[in-house]
Amino acid sequence: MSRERFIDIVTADQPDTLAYFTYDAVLNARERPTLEQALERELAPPTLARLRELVDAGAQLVDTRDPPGFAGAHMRGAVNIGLDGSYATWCGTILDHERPVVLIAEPGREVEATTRLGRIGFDNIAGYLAGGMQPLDRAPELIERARRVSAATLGELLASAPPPLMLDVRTKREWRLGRIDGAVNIPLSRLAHELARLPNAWPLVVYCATGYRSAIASSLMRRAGRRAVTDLVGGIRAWESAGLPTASTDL
Amino acid sequence: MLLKQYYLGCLAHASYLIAAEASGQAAVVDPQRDVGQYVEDAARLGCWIGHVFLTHLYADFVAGHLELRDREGARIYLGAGARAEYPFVPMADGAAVRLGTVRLEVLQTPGHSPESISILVYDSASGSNPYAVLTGTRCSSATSAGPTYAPRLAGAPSGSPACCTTRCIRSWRPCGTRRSCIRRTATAHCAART
Repeated sequence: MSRERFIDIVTADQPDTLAYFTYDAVLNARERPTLEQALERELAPPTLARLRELVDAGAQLVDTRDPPGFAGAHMRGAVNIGLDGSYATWCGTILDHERPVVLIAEPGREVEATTRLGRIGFDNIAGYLAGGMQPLDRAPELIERARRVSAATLGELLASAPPPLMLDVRTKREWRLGRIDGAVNIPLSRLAHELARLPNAWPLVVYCATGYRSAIASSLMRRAGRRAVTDLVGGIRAWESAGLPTASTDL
Repeated sequence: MLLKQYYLGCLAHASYLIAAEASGQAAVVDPQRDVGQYVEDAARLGCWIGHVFLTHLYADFVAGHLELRDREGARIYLGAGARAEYPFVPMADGAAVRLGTVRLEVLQTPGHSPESISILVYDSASGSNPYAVLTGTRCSSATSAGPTYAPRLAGAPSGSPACCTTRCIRSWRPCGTRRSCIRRTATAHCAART
């Protein structure tokens, strides 16, 4: 076997290199503060007014609650990366480690949310909103809601005119193995860089395997100013469970 | 001897505590950055963690080697090809650390990354064959893992993705110790298999 052929084999189907990999690889070779030192600085709850100042100055607002809770009410501009999934991996992929992060979490899960970011070296946490969403009761103008749709309703929408545009944010391999027919595939790891490909004014329905990644994707798009974005509850698994058809590509 | 695996599902990260109770010493391999679980478990066995190994400089999480160094006084061990800002003991092929009757012997196993090492765990009870091998990401899910992203660090050797084919899963040493003689092959990115 030639050297070139060996390299082709071992590098075939390698997953994308995620945005934070270089940062972590370099950090593992460096002197740096310990996790304990980072947490001592980070586990402080700013007031809502201070949180708004931080966000206006460029801090990244991350809501770590589950997608249904986020959809029901969330703070404008928040990205939904839920703790009950690959939270650290997706934070590392989506967030900029050089900009501060402010967290919204269910009360009692703030330390977990901060520690799990510390595990990937994201020590730039400017704090968390104490009480979860409760402080926003005094500032309802900051609250937004996200649209979600069931598989059955989506089936009806796709049969109507004009149908929404479907965006599949799973990997290319997942998309090939089975997808909702007509869906455009932009893996979540690349979405931020390829948003311009999508028509802004057309109603868009986003889905993934179970609803975790699509919640992240739809919140990213709303943060970027796209309003007509809807999330499929339960992802393609719910679609298939409802007996609705899929298309696939021979691998 | 106790060999315990800790598995962190959301990062698919396995780490290991090796405690030699008779000697009161313990070592940790590829620790998470939150090191409390290793310290507490070692203390329950009457051991202190004097040694922390990184099988390679991970890209997908920050390891807890500095945390164990500062909290427990642990010495840090990396593959001989590694470069780092902090003091560490470079471990070449065959280099070993003793914890009483337990011996941790290093194999240089580049391929996933240039400085990757695997660690053979010998216990007096297992005789001349290793009880386990801790492979980092050198093999994962029973096959040889692909290359990791190896950024060019200042002074580091170039990280060509497939720079070494000398260590395959079937024979771990030039003398021909077979994989079947190693009871446990434990990786950083999947559960240990017996």
